[in-house]
Amino acid sequence: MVLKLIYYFSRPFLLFGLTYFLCTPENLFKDYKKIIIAIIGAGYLGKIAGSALGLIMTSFDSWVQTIGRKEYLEFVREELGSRLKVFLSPSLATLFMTFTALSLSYIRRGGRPSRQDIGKVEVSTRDV
Amino acid sequence: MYKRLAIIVLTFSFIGFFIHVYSAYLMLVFPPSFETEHEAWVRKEKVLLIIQSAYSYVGLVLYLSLIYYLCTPNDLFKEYKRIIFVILVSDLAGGMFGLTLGILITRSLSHAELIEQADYIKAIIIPTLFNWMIRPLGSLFEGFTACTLSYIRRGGSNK
Repeated sequence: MVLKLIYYFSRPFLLFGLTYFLCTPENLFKDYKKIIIAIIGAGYLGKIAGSALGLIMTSFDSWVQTIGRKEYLEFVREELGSRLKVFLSPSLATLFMTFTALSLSYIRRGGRPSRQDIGKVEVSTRDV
Repeated sequence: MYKRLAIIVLTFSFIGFFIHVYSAYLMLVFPPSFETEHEAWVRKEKVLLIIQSAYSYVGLVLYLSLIYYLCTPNDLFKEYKRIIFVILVSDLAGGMFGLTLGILITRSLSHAELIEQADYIKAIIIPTLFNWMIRPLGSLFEGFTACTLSYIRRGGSNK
């Protein structure tokens, strides 16, 4: 419970801080699509890796040995079924937070891009 | 641009909080003691559930799209602090309006009189106030992302 609470409160600061200080994009104007794909993809990878590791670690627990591995797998299957929607949906909150951190990092630490840097970014209408 | 951004953020925050207070009120007084009113409350709860589901699916898309299309910054590099300030303040103000109006309306409903003041505060005001303090951060990340993408794809006076 304590670990959960610590993680819950420190996660946003850590995620935002680490992204801001360590992941300044070279050119946000060119890389923004890659950045969005990377955040969503990494989110899914993290979910899968965390679930797999959690399953492996808990399957060695003494309680699992007592109830039997078959029953445990049945229990996990039911749990996963009920949480499939959460598992399959991308973590939008993480995407928005990380993208904001990257944008601010680029604005404050990366500097203003020159005309050449911006490259082939399409400029359509501009709302003034 | 800032006026439009403020209006969009304020409106969505207001609607979100109003729905939040009203649903908390329904949860608190449901089910009513009289059999005849029971059906009316079931209907109200169903309507609220439909509105809540629709808002949760459509709200974010609408919020992002409106900011993306209507609030393209002229120069993100100069204006980012002001954008952050406008989003945060508008969200807090919208939340406060929604919270106040929601409490005023639900207090005037007949069943609110049956509820103890302490229960009302515990069930509605405390969770909503907590939500009011946390929510602007989410709103800021969503709004700022929409503004940045809008600037990258549609604007950019520094080019």
